[in-house]
Amino acid sequence: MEHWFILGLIGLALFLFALEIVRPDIVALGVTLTLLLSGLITIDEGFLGFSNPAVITVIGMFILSSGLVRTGVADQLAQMIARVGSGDPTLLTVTVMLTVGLLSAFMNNIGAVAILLPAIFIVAQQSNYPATKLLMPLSFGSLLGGLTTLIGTPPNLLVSIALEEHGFRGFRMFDFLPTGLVVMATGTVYMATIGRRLIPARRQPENLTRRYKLQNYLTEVVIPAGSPLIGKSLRDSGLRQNYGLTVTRIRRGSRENEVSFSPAPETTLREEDQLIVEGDISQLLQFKGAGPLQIYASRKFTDESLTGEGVQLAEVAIAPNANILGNSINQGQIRRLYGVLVLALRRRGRTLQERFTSLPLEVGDVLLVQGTPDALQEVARSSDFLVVNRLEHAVREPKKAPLALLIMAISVVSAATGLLHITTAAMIGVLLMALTGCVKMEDMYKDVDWRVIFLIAFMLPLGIAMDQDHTGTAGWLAQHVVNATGGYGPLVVMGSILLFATLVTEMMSNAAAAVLLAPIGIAIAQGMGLQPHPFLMAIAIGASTTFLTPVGHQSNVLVYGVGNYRFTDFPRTGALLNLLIFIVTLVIVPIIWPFQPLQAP
Amino acid sequence: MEHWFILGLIGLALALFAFEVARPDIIALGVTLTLLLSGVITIHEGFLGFSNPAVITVMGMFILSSGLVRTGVADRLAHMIARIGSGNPTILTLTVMLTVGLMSAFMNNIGAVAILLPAMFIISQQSNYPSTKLLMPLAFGSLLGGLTTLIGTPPNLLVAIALEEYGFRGFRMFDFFPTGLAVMATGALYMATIGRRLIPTRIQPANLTRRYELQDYLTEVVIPSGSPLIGKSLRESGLRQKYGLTVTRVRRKNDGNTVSLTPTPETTLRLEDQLIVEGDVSQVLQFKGTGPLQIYAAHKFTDENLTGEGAQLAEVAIAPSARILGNSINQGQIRRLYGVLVLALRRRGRTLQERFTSLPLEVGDVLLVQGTPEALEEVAKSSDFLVANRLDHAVRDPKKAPVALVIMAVSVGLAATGLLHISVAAMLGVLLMALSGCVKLDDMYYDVEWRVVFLIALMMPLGMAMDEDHIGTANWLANQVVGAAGDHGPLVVMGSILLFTMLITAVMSNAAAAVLLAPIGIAVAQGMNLQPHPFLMAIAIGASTTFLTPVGHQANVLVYGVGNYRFLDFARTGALLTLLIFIVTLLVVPAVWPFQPLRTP
Repeated sequence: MEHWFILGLIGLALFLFALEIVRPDIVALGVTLTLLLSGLITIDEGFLGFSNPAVITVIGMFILSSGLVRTGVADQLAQMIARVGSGDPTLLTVTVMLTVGLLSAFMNNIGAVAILLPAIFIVAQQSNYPATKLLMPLSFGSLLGGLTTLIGTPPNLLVSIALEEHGFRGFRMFDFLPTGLVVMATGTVYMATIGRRLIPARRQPENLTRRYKLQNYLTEVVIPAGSPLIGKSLRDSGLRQNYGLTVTRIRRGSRENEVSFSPAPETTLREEDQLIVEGDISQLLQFKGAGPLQIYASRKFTDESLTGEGVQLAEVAIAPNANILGNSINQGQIRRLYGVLVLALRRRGRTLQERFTSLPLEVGDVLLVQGTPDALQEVARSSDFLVVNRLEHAVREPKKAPLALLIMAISVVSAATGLLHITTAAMIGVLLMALTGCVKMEDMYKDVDWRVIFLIAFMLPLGIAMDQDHTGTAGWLAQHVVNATGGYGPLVVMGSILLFATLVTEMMSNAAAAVLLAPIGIAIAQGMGLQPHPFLMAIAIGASTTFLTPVGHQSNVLVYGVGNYRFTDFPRTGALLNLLIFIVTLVIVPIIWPFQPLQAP
Repeated sequence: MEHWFILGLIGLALALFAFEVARPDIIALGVTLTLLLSGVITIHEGFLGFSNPAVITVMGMFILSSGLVRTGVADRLAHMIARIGSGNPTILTLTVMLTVGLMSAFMNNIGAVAILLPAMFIISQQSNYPSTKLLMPLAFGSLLGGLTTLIGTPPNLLVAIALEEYGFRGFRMFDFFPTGLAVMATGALYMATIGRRLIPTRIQPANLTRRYELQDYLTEVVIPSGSPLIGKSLRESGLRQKYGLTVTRVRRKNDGNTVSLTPTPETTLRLEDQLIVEGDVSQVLQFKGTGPLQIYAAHKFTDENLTGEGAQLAEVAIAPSARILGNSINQGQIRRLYGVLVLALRRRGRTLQERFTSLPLEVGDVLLVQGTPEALEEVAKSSDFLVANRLDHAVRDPKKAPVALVIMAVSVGLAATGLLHISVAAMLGVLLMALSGCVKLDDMYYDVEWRVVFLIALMMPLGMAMDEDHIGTANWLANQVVGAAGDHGPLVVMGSILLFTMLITAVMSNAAAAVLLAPIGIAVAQGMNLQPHPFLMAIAIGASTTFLTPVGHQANVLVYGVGNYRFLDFARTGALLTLLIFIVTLLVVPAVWPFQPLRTP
């Protein structure tokens, strides 16, 4: 039965997405190849996703976004917000969310978060308000802001183009504005009143050179000669009680015959043992030279410029498009490149047994680095890192900022007025950005997140395989949904679809969710003899509301690491928000997009 | 007249390609947007190129190539060939060409050249044979080797897929083999006998620390205090007569502002003037500390380890996939990264009027760097640079080399036996490379030359606009061609097409030429009521024979810089080769692909 084959494939894909064994775009490639090899789709159909206008527009938007970032347009907004500062937490939260919302309405969400991230720390300091309470609103605001325009986030484009491909009128640039605005307002008001109280207040230190809590860091320490810990068992050492450290692994012996083992409480510590520890490393940093433990890195690299007087500490997050992403930390290289030493790594609160220098870096990782103020300045300027207490980016062409803004405006307006198709408008913007030098030609393809493009392009064949010309699984599924819930009226059907979209998007990327559900949504609407627009609007909203887990969207991942949140912090704050948006969507969508019967063909 | 609109657009594009006004992919974007805005093609058609199986396959091949390079498969071939060494220049040339031909039959041409480039210098030393005489055969061999398989070079794929799209049988994996082999043999024999004698002998210095001619370098010098040149006019300075230097630009500090002026013979030199000079800078390098002139970089960066005793010089070429490509030389960054100082830049023998440190680096640029032996070692290991004599690249997973080779063989085998379409086979290979870790997921999109992909995809709409369903310019053109040359028989027509292809490919990239000419070739064949295969085979061969200029193909550009060739060296050696291949193609193609009438529908 072909339907079960398709459903099984979807199930398998969902399962692989959820397990995160393989990167989503590779899973999607596997899905497409399976469909191709099973003969359900033709070769042309298998790769048709790459020429889908939504995919082309997403490519274009990445390049346009990069133009805004590289000319410093986005930075100027960040500096504006950094000057705000207010004693009123409600006002502060609203300002942050509206600013990031405005940015992410016209550029990609994670880009907007990355740009504003450093500003948040400045705002937090000026207002004496915990940065953790602003970081989650920042991420959620970017997701909500994306809902207000056609180009705000890929799901919007994808449902719109899906409508066009099925012969309906696609959504226009600001068709998303009424519903998006209501949802955005709901989210903002919620976060500014109730939500912010649910976020734990973990105060970030104002001055990183003073003693403060550096929790959940992973680092390597060594037991130096003369340490009082030599000869003691792990239990007697008091490492956990006195220093708050958990020893996850011990490496012992010379380089040739090094042994590495998981320690038991009875393990006796010896001189020169290397311990991989996790926990609050602030006390370790106090010991200069002598002490019971020494940070391995600062002992191995003894250059005056790295560990001498005048050095400072900084917490830096790995930028989402950093060159070093996926590489392990090469101390030598980072030292040469930036003149800083990496002391420790923090990652999503997971327990890690490896040397932190051997782990491939991921988005959202936070590094504790040490170096001279000049070196830290250099780090801040690099596009690889987001320094959480600085506000300078690798802006290349600040003079061209007005030009970039103008080009963006031309693209948006020519699409909004219906003069040009959104795809054409976006690509004209790309051409203009490239010709004016707002985007350097060498950078333009680097700034496209190809993982997203390939994921979408390789998920689209699944929709093709489900349509009436192929297996008809979408129609078949729609029939079941209509039979089961159709009696309760379109609102209940829409509610079920919305719920399903909200759940599925926690497991897979929001774009993939939109690709998968759009054809089903259209089939359901057709099955009920209704126009598909309200259903697809609900799918777009559902696909973008990923507030339940820190890994549901890259924006969340980024603040997860930087904010030192726990996994459960997200459902605690986000569950109610998801519920509220669910209700608001059910109320507002049918008002703006009333259920209308299909015109008889 | 719509035909003239299309022809005008083609003409304009050709002119823009030829003058290098903007990068080819940007020009192609402009072409597509013009067609979209003029309403000749629809939105879907405008971007359909991105899902063309040929484009998908080209994308896949870039990733598969990268798997072969990153696991060190390609490196092993380089090691093998480096051991050869022979007193016989004919055998040496043949070996080089066949090796690079074999590689480029299964990976992209410029990748094959880059991998084998360092080996050329080793062979040259062992055999006491000038490396310049091996570098041009290397580049030409890669172009010729690409002609032997379907996946060897993008034009082959493009003509094959164009055939399929017009309802003909496409070319199979080894359909290119008979003609390709004949052409390859012709080229190899020519280069090994006559061609190599036409290449100028410029013996490369065996040891770069010894004094050697640093001709054609562009560097910045500064007039230090105490220089006898202060107060003298340029004419009196004797810079040209004594030092062989041409001053192309003078930068001077005036009340804190730096002015940049084009010098006349009367310009009086002042203390601290910065001169951009072209010519043999070896004499300037002799002065340590004092002298009439000082290399600016050495003047500014005075670290002992950069300029002190033991510092050595090296010429390094920018690798085609270097991360620093497109960035200007940041002395500070390069110094931190590699511990070397960039003294001078050589590019395509062209005179560059501005400070070389402000120029974005291009493929084929050669830098003269200075540093300790250890630092130069570091440079050699980096994947950003190709250093003469150094074979060790940053191979990440040498253990996986057999796996990568098997995956490549599986892909080729599946496509060759006709079991899978080439695009599916290539993407299956990508999936396997990704899952087995032969290609790191974070590298895979980085290793795709997006400029090539976009160029091809965005040139395709031009072909669409010319077809019968649109304007029909292809048929109209074909009628003109058939009307003019048809009476002289198909061979003359094929000869004209081949000639035209060879001319056009000198101006635009070979892939773009194939995209543009494939539909015309098919229309011409149909106009003569013949099967299109021989005509398209001629187009594929013509598109890849770019031996006349050093800038006709990236493989040429790479050896142009490294080999210190002059522009006309290529025409001198390549003209006869082009003529020979023209004749051989006219003989072999009709023998292997006889002119057959179209079956009546």
